[in-house]
Amino acid sequence: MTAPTRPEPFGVELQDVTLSFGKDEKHPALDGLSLQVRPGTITGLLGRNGAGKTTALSLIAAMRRPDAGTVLVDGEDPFENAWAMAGTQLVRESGDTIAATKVADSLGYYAELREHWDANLAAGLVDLFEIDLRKAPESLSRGKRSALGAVIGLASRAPLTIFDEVYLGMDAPSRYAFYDALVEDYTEHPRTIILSSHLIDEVERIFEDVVIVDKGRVLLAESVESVRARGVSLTGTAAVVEQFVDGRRVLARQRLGSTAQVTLFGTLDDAERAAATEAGLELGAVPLQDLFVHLTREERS
Amino acid sequence: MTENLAGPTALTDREVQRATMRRAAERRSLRTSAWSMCAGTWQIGVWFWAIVLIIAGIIGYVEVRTDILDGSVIDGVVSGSAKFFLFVMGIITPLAMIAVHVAAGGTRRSFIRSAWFTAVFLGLTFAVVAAALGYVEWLVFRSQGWSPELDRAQLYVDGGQVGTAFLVQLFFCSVYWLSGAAIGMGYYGFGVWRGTFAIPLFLVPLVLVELAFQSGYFGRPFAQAVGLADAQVLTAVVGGLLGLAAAAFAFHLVTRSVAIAPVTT
Amino acid sequence: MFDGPEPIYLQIAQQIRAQILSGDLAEEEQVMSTTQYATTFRINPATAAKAFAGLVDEGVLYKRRGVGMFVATGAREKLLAEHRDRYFAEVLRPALVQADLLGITPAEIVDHVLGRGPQGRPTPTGETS
Repeated sequence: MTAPTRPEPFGVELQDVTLSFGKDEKHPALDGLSLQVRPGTITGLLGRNGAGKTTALSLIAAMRRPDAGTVLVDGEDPFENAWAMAGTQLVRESGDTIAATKVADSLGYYAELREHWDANLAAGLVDLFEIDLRKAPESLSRGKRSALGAVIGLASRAPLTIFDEVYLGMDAPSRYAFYDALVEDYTEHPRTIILSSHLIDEVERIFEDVVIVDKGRVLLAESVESVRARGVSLTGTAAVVEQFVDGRRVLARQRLGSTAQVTLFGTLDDAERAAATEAGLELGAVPLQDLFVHLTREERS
Repeated sequence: MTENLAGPTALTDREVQRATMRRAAERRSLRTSAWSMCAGTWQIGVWFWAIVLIIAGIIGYVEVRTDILDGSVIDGVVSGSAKFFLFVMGIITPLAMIAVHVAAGGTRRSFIRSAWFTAVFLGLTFAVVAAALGYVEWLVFRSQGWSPELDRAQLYVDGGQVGTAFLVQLFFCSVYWLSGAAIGMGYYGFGVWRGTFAIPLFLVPLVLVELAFQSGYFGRPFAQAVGLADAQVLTAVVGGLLGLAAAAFAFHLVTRSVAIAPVTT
Repeated sequence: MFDGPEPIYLQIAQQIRAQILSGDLAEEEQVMSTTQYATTFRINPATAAKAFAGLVDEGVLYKRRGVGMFVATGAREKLLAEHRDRYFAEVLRPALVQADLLGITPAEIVDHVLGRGPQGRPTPTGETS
């Protein structure tokens, strides 16, 4: 029993979850939201501001209770559940810390509570992000505080680790250092990771699954490959492109001289692909960001 | 265990193992939170005692020089301020800790228990210091031939009654800290308006303990008014225990399913 | 990297095939591990693993337990054969269909390929447009 065993990744399930923050709210924060997160995957949680991402994540991490519906973490209701809570690490923006005392105190708190805390990893990341352990979290810059959140999330090695917009204020090199550390630690210590971000183009390749939330409901939940397959881009001579595109749903159009690039929503079958290639058009992938913008905008109109 | 990976036995093993992990997690989070709150409060508490001693020293020195020394200086400074210091610390400390505790995977249940433990621990340790200081002062006064009597006598008349002094301080400090904690968490959970309205409720334990121990400016007239002035130590302890239980229950009520506030920055 | 329309795992497999064909990856040489691949290209390790699994199924790579992935003996020859077949089906046939439409005779094509035509010998890379 004393030997530290590698924890099994947790799965997550939300069934028809509802939550409002008060009568003055026009829409409930969560409006019958249902989603599943497969254990052991990196799942991207995407949504516009106010879509309900943060609220849904706070339910998973037992920060609050839903008004109605079921929340299951590793098959159990996580609220006041020592097993589920001890296995779930939610990092909200800059991470929860003891604001007024040394950063080292906050890290010490996590180190004591987190069964699988890796002190070496934490020390390495603190060096990498150049976080001053003697300062108080509240006196760190926004970027450093976010980096501290990243350290907490990674070093906890929790079977379910959630990063909710843990990048605010971080400059690009720090963000990429975080993504690299995340991918590296995830491959060595598989666990379930949920990553919520607005910087979709930076993180889409590390997702395995994607959940898109809008207005408190799930708009789409599938593998990132299937989401990407929902769109295609065509590049070539403007006239040829326009001819091919006629009658299809166009997400975006770009023109440079006589060359045009058009982003289409929807898939092309093999014959259409062949035809497009034959016509001299170059087929390309559509950034997840473009599809996301399209899907959430469509829902609103 | 490897030979039983399927079937009902494996399920039971898994449940047993999970139950063991649950208990271990609860113990770990209780211990971490309690240690953090006790040590954190004492870090500032050391400064509190240093300042109290300096103030008592200055007052004593001035009173001796001007020949107006008419009773214990320590008693006035200590019993007047230790509990208020802990009341304020009680408001601040759990407020500063609750989010990090839950974020680190600790339950509110373990947090509540750690706060109960912290209240008693702080009560015990602060009472030891207060009683010891009172006793030292009593020794000094007696060796100088001064009157060691206390002006607002409670259950003890001079610092020589170390045991009773300790008991009184123990209850004051524990209940004040825990009531402060309940008020702080009340604000956190209910918001400013409802939190403010709840304050009188959270002050009930304080009134109880003040009455039972007939302390200071408020407690003694209060106790006399309700006919408790001549009560014995035993009655006081019962009242103190009631106050402690009330404060512990209030803290439990406001914390047991409190929603952890969203990040605001 | 990996901006094509196909799923990323197919693009990874394609990249490894290309490296084997070009000789950048020799037979019996160790391939980057899933972890190295994932961290180098900042992609999900499951995506990389899926690419490798596909190549193992094709017999291009094989796995040595506890050591890693290696290029199979004969992998290059196998890929060359496949690509030769595909060349006729996917590259040459559309070109010939096009030629037929334009009224270019087989003789003209043969002359062109052999460098006897008015345009001279085509560049070895086969760049046309």
